[in-house]
Amino acid sequence: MAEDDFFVDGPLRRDLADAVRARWARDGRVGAQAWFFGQIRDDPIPGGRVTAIEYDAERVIAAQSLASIADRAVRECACREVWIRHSLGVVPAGGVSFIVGVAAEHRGAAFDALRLTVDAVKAETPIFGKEITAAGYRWKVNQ
Amino acid sequence: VTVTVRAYGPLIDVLGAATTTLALILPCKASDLRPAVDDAFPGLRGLNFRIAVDHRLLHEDTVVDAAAELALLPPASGG
Repeated sequence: MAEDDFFVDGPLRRDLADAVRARWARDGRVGAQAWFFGQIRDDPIPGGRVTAIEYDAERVIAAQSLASIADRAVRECACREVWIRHSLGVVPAGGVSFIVGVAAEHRGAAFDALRLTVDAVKAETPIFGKEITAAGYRWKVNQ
Repeated sequence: VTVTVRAYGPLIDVLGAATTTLALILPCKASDLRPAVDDAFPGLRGLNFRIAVDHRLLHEDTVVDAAAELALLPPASGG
């Protein structure tokens, strides 16, 4: 997968996944699709509520990381395919910044692969978020 | 050689800019890069980050013969 295939500038449109959802729906071997849509909370932080998150990434290494995590999820969870997109740049509160889709034969594998992928991307992939408020910003820290 | 140093996340604020430069003596081991970076930018000492060389994360025993860019990568905070 090419580096830029994983990344979208700004918010992710929820219909971005429609084509892959439809492709999996036509696949007679797929019994379960599991989807995660991560969106920006308007958390209260010092300086006010979060109005947006601005994302930056080491794009080459981040793309390799996403491809590697998708491969790991397919291998370890015995699912058929993992699909990942992540925003770069500014995503306003309420906007979607991270989508993961999983196709599997059965629900257990789909749930397992979805959790593995979301957790691994947040822990490992060199993408960095800056939480913007009316008064300034704070660097995002993943829990 | 003079290499570009590209900081990410909170390390941008520590350096005061997203990019700067650093003089390195090459070849060196990848494990020699952190002390060189810390010496040049003392504010980074003790902070948790990895160093990528020309978009690659290297094993610490790897010999770096040439480099154009060092990326300073703090813990991930995407998603």
